[in-house]
Amino acid sequence: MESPNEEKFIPKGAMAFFILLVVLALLFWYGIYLLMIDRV
Amino acid sequence: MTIDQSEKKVVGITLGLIGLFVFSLLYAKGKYKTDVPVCLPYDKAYTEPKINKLDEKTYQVFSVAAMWQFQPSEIYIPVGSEVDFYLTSKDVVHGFNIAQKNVNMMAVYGAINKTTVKFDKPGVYDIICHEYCGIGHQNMRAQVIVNYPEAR
Repeated sequence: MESPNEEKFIPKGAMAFFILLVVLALLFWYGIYLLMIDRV
Repeated sequence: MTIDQSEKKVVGITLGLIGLFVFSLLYAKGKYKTDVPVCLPYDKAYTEPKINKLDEKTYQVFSVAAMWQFQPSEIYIPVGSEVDFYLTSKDVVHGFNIAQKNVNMMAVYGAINKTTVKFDKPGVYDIICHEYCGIGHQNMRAQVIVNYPEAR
């Protein structure tokens, strides 16, 4: 049986890490995108 | 099958990002009229390096890559010129990269690749081979010189 602590567990660290990865991906992707548009 | 609420969110974010990237690419293609190089049917006429001046602002360059040089190695054009590059190789596969203008092509023996570039700023644009082609690869380069001699 699960303890009450486990039921309320929210993986805040994993969520923050996921969001950070998404933000980094956007940053890199749009960095290269804007650089290439600038060279058109 | 039940999908957890968190999984639904992650799938939603992923699809949203893919949509955003695809939209950005299509937007740039529409707004800036970006284009990809085309492969033409092979014709021996393109294997002789030369520069054709079609009019004051339009040029054709038949660029031939060979170990380890590009011919013609110096291309002089005025500002605002539109250049059609026709590229082929005399031996192995070479690269053809003008980083300042997003040009990225392969020079392949028996194939003609074509792209069009507009040079609207004066300067010296380096063409480099970015596909390893042998011992002299690092010295394989050419230049597009826009608005000569003011650019020098």
